[in-house]
Amino acid sequence: MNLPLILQMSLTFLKIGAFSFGGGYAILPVIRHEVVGIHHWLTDREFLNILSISQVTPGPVAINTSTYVGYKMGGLPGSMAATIAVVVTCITLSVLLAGRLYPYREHRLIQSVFSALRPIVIALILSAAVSTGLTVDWDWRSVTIGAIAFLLLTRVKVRVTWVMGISGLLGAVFYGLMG
Amino acid sequence: MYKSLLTTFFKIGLFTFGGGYAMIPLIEEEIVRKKAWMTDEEILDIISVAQSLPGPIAVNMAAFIGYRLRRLRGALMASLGVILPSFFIIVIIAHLLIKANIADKIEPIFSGLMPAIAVMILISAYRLGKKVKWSQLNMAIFAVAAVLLIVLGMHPILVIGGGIVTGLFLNRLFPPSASGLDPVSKSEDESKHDSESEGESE
Repeated sequence: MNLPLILQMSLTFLKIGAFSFGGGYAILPVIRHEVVGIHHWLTDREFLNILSISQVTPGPVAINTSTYVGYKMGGLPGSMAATIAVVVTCITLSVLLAGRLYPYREHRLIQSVFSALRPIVIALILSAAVSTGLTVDWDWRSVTIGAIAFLLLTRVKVRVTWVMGISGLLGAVFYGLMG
Repeated sequence: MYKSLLTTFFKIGLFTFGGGYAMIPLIEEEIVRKKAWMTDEEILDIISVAQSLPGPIAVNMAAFIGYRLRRLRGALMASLGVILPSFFIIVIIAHLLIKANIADKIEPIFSGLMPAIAVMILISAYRLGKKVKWSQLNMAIFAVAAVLLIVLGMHPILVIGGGIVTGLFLNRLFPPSASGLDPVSKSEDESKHDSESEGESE
């Protein structure tokens, strides 16, 4: 067991957990920057694979990524440490807020901070879309899959899980059988 | 009660696919209707707070509800319950991908998933973006953040930190009491003018 690595990982995921405002996709740039960019614990490709996996498995993407990276770098102890690190801030804050700070949620200082963060959260999600889009090798196959996904989500309005199933199947046909 | 919190949130965690918002119907079903631990109104309040905290919404909500029901140990039990299902599943998947090395065989599936995910995130940015009040100030904040993140590749944490500082700064610049500046935000401020002395939450 590599203790210094597990410690470093825990600190990184502590940081990720503490700054993941907005939830969901808004967290992706933070995770990517740390895990792929700075520490090279995952390749770009691996990161996107986990993103795919986390769309079809239960649980938030931040937790899924921390569990995966932790397991890859430090086995079971690593995955436990990384998972705990990513949630410890939000559990602490929730407990504090549920107990004492709850009445202050309408305070205008807190409100102005949140209203400034809202457009930034949108920018974060957009940057996640851009960086994911840049990793895709855009040829007729990926454009077809992207277009089908777009139509399914905006016109047919099926659930995300279905979109993932269908595009995974198309991937197996286009890149596996025909590729 | 502790065990019941653990198993209830385990169940909620197991069926929360696709982000924290997906768990809201499940929470209403389990916590409000089946167990009658809380009312719908309480759950709505908790959702609004959970959204504004850092961290996954699912965990925030579990910790919050657990704490309101059974204090610290309740919060820990509920959080543990909601995290465990995804933890087990990802450990198994990680084991298969890394140790058993099946990653190459399922690579075509991932190649198909990736363009779909790029599209999905883009749609999500658009949908959530529609909910933001696009004042000139918000557009400026968005533009600056987008350039810093996408063009300059700045660390997202720095951008978020900058946003927090901006929010604090703007609060000083346009104190609600003195604001004849923006009639829309003024009426909003009046509705929540139960403001305590300013230093309290700092």
